[in-house]
Amino acid sequence: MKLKLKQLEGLLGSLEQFSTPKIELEQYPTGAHIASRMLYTAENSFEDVNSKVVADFGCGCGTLGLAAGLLGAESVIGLDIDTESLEIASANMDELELDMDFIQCDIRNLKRRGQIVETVVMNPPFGTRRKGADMDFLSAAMKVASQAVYSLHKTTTREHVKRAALRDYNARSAEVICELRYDVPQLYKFHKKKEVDIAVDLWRFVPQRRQERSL
Amino acid sequence: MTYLRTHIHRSGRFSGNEELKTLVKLPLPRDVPSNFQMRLLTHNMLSSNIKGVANGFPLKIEVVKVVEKEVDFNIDFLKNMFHKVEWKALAEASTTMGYPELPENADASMLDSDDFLHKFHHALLELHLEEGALVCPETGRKFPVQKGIPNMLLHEDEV
Repeated sequence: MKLKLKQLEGLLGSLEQFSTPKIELEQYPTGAHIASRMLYTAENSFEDVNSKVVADFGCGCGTLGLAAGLLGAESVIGLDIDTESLEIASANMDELELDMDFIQCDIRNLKRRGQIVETVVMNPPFGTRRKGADMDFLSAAMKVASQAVYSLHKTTTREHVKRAALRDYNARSAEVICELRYDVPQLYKFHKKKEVDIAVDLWRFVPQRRQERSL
Repeated sequence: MTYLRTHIHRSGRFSGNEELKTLVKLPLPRDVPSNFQMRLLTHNMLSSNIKGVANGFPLKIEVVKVVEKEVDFNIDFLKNMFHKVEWKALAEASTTMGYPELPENADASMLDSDDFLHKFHHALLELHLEEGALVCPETGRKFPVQKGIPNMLLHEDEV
């Protein structure tokens, strides 16, 4: 039975989020609203999830990877640098009765290896604390994915993201699928307002086929 | 109320019947094995990423504990993956994990054999390294695997 968008959002809404988020890693939860739309679109418009190997880069609490699992991904691999995140992601995996593999690593140090991962999904750090963090993630994702990369980036960086993807990261195509509002709850002390929402783009990047690469 | 099909889920909770699930929410027993897992599918995409290492693949496996978990058999997925995995690395890893059933070399004609597909399926998806290490083939540096999570983080002088 195919999961409906509302059902997907409902299941993701019950997941545990960071209890003590780490600002240096720009840990912000990916809300159920955004996560469900992201993966639902990836599956229903592009068939990039069901029966695929999906990796969740900087998986945090695992929301995106688990959404992929709910939509029938054959195998889901979550990568994160932070031990606590992986623990929460594992608890969430239990809650949804799904299976997921995890790798503790720094995304920036990943080496491309084979073509096993077909789709990468991620909500990267936006690079507000450490400049360029978002682009480091994108660069790594484009090396690993053989089929598609789904990522969220601030709308204000749209031109930059497009240029970098096509020029530097071997993207065959880079398109904004939709613009979303990202609710940033007041997680950190330096947040003055209770809640702000910022405009983010949901991107779909298609890497060049391996043979076409000039690596 | 009738419970048709219930079983203890690997997490220690009941599952199989929604109604029952809401009624009985058992606390997790402390000795339940972790659900973290590292399959050979994941091993096949990992390499030693230490600075200066040219041939970091495949990582050797040191086994402390292997667990097996049943996974649904998906023939289309296997046929697709066959062309993507590094066969030799998979076959070697499988042997190290105590399942020496994969041939050293394989070609696409073997995909017609049901027996071959089931062995491939078992090695790729059902064998999990829960405790042990992945070892860089060039430097011997060990990346620990604890509770099924390989720790690939590098020290400062390795980046």
